[in-house]
Amino acid sequence: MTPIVLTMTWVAFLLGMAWYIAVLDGLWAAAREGRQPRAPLANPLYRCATILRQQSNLTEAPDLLNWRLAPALYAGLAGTGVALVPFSSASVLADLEVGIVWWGAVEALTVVVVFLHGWSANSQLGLIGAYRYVAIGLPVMLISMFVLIAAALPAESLAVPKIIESQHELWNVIRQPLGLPLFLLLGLSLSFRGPFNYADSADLADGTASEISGAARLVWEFARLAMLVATAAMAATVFLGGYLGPVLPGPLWLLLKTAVVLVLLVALSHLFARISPSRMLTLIWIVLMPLAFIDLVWAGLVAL
Amino acid sequence: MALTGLLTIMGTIVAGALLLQWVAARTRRDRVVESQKIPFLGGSAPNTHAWQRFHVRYYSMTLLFIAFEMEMMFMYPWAVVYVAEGVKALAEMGMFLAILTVGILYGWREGIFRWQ
Amino acid sequence: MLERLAARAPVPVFVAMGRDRAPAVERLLRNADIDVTATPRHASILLVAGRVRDSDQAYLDRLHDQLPHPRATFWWGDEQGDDVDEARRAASSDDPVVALRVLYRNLISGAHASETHRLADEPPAPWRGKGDHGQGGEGMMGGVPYGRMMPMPPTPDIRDGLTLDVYTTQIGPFMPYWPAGLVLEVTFQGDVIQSAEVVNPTYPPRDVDRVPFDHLLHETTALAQIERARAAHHLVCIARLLSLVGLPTLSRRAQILAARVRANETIAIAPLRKAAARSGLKAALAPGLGRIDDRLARELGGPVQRAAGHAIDHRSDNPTYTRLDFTPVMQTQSDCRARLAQWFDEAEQALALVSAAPDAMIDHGALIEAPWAHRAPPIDYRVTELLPGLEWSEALLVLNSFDSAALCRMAPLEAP
Repeated sequence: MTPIVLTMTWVAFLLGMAWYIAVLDGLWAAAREGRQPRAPLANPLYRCATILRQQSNLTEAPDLLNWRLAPALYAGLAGTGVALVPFSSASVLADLEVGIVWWGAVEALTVVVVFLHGWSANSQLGLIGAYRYVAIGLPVMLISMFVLIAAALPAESLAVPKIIESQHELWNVIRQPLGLPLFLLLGLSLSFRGPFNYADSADLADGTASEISGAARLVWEFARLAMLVATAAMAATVFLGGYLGPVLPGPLWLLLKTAVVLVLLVALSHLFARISPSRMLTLIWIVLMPLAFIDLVWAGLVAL
Repeated sequence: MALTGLLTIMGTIVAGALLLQWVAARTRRDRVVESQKIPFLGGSAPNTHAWQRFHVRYYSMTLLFIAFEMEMMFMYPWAVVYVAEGVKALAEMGMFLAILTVGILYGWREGIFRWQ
Repeated sequence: MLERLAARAPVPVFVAMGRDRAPAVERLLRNADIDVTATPRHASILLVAGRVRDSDQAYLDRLHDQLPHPRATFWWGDEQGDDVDEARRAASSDDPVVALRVLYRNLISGAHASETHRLADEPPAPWRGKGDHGQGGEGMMGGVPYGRMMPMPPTPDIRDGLTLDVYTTQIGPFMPYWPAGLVLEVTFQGDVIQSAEVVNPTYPPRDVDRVPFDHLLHETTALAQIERARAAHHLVCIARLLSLVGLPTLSRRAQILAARVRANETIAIAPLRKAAARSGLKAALAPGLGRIDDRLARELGGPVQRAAGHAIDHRSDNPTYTRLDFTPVMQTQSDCRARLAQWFDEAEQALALVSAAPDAMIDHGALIEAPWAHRAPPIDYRVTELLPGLEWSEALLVLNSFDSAALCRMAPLEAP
């Protein structure tokens, strides 16, 4: 693909998949409640328009620069995450030799940006959400980096395209079966959904988003979806062989695999209750972290 | 090259998002009045500003986190040479992780994952 | 273009819950055409459901001003005078969804003017003028912006004794997942509540599910009606908890079941219970969270008492029930989990009674156990005693593990 086509594909992928998640959310809720979905395809667009029509809010003495910057940076991070993903063997927007390291930076900076968002409104509910999110966001990041490094072992490289090429014979999801499930948790945590919604949850009146309205909120909500797209695309690439697949062209395979991973992520976010932050912290360190170690050792033994 | 691309993407999205917020604020005539700025607390108004020396109850967990985060830095180059180095690399990283795991167990015993 | 799209979205509504309207509002929650928001910042319509105390008017005005433009207020209840125009009110017996949609569409198109602010457009205290940038002087934040001080001086924490800032604020009366009408002055250290003080009490609850019980005072009533009301009441309580732990779709399912029970349909609760268990509802309620002591449980009565292991239930003494081999269900632990299990058990038992004796009648004046806490605890047992030491999300779980009657009794009753 030429750079122009590649950039357009990237834009379409990001926007299209974000819309797809919103549609899935609506369909899932309707199915579980046993009612007809309400204009399932167009509803996300209606809601965008509603949010954009609202006035942008301010609070008393907010940290305005950071408050406006946080949603923008969050969306930007998600965008670079998607850019790391190759659409086919010859077309990747950012062919970085150390793509996995960049993705690690995206994860770390997401924690910073979400904290900043909750902090800068100068409101107690947002502040609680911000601090609470950091507690969970940090250790989840470790888990995801362990499983990503495990996936990099057989490729002998930290470049995302090389990791795909290493999966020609066997996808990592089979070679390292613990990797994908652990990585999916990261997706929920990075976009704080369902059981990992410690930042913008209902008990905090939407937490870090409780004081925003208008365009800032639109960017924030879009960034959450975009970050989920980025994680799903990354999961499809690192664990499900990305563009690899018979008959169909590469980009289509990536699209299909990402779409399937997103169904899983949406299901997970609706299926599980949010436990108290301290219990989640224990669960992450005592149960999930050792599982990530096992995944790493497993991958190491298989790679030898 | 790829790095420039990523930074361009980042910059473009950030600029676009800021522009959207700026334009949206500019095209509306209604001003945010003072009573609208009061933080939401179910109808109540706060006595003080929210910024505070916040009691971060998981601070001891963050120390454990830093230990692992440092380890992550060593793992990046390790992952690249792993297959070439073979069993030796596996054993070395295994020992490193084992030592850090003792840290988790110690922290667990000390109750650093509880909210206090 | 934007207007046309926006007008077709679900109406973003923030609900200020007044008296007696909880079940009606819960009906709204189920409607896909209405988007009940968690904060007024995301809403375009402030729905005032039922009557609000005169003393709460200032809180309501503040809430109103927090909505972004375009905004409008909608009154739902019978108490509104003629000063409110037709477009912005509905009688309590009416379904307001259509009216809300019309109001919203007009608001978006500009046919209905956005409401102006109700409180004065001035900061709570004068502070501008001093300092290099007019910020009000010196200090950590460069003076006293908005006349608000920095958080209070450090005090030892009740969990670990660390000395850090405390943050004191009033919360309520229109907070989501918060007893309607309750205003507490809460002191936080970080996200843990250090102390709480009642400023305004909760509104006394009056449920639709109370109707058959009130009926029973004067006339012979069907057992089925009584037990259906009980099941519906418990399902609504369960729905609140489900929504709080981040399971909104399951919560709506519980709401739908409650509505169907009230409409005399035959339903099964077991699938909901199973789905809730599979979703890790138990894990979300830590064992021992919200455990109350025996005396408080006994003083409150009702399901709270049975969740504490006391098999006390007026139905055991009623011949109609004894003929059906009625024995009270109970739990032992007296914590949030036990109260949740008690709601499930009692709702299932109620429906089993309905199917065992669909035609049984109960004589008027018979003493039948109500589905809620029915006695007032002594003055030293207050909701304010339950909250200190709890992290914010735990505190909300504890509050929502009680029925609204119990909460009302644990916060002092309103002066008549």
